[in-house]
Amino acid sequence: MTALTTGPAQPGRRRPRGRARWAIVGAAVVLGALFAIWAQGRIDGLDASTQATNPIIRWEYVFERPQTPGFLRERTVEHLKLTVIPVALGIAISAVLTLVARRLRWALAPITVFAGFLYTIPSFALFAVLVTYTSNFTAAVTALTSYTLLILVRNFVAGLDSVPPAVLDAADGLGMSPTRRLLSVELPLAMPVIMTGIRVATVTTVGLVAVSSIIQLGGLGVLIFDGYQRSYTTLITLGTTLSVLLAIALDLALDRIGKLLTPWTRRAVAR
Amino acid sequence: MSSVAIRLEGVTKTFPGSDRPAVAPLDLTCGAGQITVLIGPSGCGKTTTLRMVNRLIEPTGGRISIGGTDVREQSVIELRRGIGYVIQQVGLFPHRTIAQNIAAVPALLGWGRARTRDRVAELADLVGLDADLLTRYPAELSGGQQQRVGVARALAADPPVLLMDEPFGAVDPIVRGRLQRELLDLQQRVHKTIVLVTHDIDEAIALGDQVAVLNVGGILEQFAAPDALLAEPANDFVASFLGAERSLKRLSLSRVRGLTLDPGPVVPLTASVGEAKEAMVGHGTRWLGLIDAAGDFTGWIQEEDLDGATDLADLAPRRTVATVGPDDTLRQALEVILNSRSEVAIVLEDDHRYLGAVTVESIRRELG
Repeated sequence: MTALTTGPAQPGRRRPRGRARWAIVGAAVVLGALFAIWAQGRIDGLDASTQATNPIIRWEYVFERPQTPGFLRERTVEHLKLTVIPVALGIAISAVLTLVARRLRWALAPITVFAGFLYTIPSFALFAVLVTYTSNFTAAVTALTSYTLLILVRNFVAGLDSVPPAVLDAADGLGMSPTRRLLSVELPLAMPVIMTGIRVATVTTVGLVAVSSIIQLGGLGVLIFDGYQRSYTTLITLGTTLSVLLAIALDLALDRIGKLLTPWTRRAVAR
Repeated sequence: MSSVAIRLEGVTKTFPGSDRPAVAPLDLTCGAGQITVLIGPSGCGKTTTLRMVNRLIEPTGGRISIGGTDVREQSVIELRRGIGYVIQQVGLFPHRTIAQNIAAVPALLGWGRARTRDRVAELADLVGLDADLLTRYPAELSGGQQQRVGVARALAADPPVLLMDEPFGAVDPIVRGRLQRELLDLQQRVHKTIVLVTHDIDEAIALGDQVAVLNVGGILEQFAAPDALLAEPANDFVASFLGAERSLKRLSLSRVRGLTLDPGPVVPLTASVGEAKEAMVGHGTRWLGLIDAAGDFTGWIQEEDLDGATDLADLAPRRTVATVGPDDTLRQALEVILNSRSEVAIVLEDDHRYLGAVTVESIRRELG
């Protein structure tokens, strides 16, 4: 055991991963800027009147229209709500399904097949069917929740399966009850894989929520559809950008939470 | 802590879907405060047998008792908390610090913070772990250190019984040897009833007070102390399992102290030159050791040294001698003899008091 295994080694180990993360964000910003330049070039080719009325973004709309900030905030909060509620429900349902699949191994295949089937239904179609039976909000939440199940169940099961058998053997041998073993050993050790699933499900849902605005539930999709119907590019740009930023922000926040929940994974593995 | 015996009576195990038992009716008594080693080839049911003691596997038939109490009399959870358990892959909790790992059973038993902390510190000291390792995570420790933590964790609630499943199988040979010696030192202090599974016959001989040699299907071929096993294997299976070099292996088990020592070619300093010459002729050697009035070995002289001498006390004896201590093994004694031109190892207590001499012949007599 040398001093190399203590403190100083940790930041060195963490830096590459942090850098990769910011590289992705940076790449997104650069790509966005390139797209804006390209789009601006296209617009430059249009005749003056169209160009004046429909640039890629009309900054006056953002900064000089008094009701804009409130409008954007409301749509963003709606979007956030329509993301968080289905993901939270998805986590709860997937947790139950995972426990069932753990107890009855044969149940895992049907559960994943069913979740996979739900995942293949086009979201437009699912919304359309569900609104005929229930309220718009329930329909949207039901549809969005069902889309999270496949990712979440698979990651929950994979997470629990990733716990080393020797650790479980030791836990049993020391006299841990099954419940205690699940909560204090299996769940924490499965957490990295579980958090990965929650992050993927969240980012996916942010994208899908945009579609749910066709049934008048608000969210940033409102801007995109409005912009499309009125051929007003600024709204499309704003809706898309805010949706992407929301996805990135939630992903980073969940990554942070995941790291806080699993402090042991950040220590250097040195011998 | 008083020691308890583990008694297996007609214990059998047949796994579902198998028509042949993994463990045939097995009778075995693991002596209180002793290390009982279960050894045998793959499929001999040694691990199954071990795991039936703490009911990680439920026997199909028979009775297992610890200190006279049937293991089925209490809940598995209670039973296991009272039995130390060490496995080859160690199975430390990766998300818990070393201190938390050691304190696993105390935490289950609901010990207070101060009591737990004191116990962790005591155990870390007992198994030779630096206190500054206690705040680390298992992945930051070497394999040998992890295994020490595994032993400390098993001992945390001071259980009378310790089950060890190939505890040193995953570490390199040098560390393994050190951990084996540490376990024996530890056992000197804690006197647990230890059941240890291994497939390494040298480990079984080095650690076991009793060794149970099992054959495929959990058939007990022989149950004896290591020396008895090596001296008189019950059958061909045991003999082949023990391997060649049984005599050499036995040498590691016996101490020089246990030999009937030769008086050796020595004379007291007070002897006359004539008596010294006679002694050389008598022992058939060309050298002679000298013993002073206190019984200390002062050195040795050659035949030529006696020419013209009048008093042995006037001679300057040579100091370099091939010596062993009474607590050295016969293997060490043989090594000394092979490296000595005189083919004799002088046995000195505390490096000075003369006890006698060891020759190849006296070792052969002991093994015979």
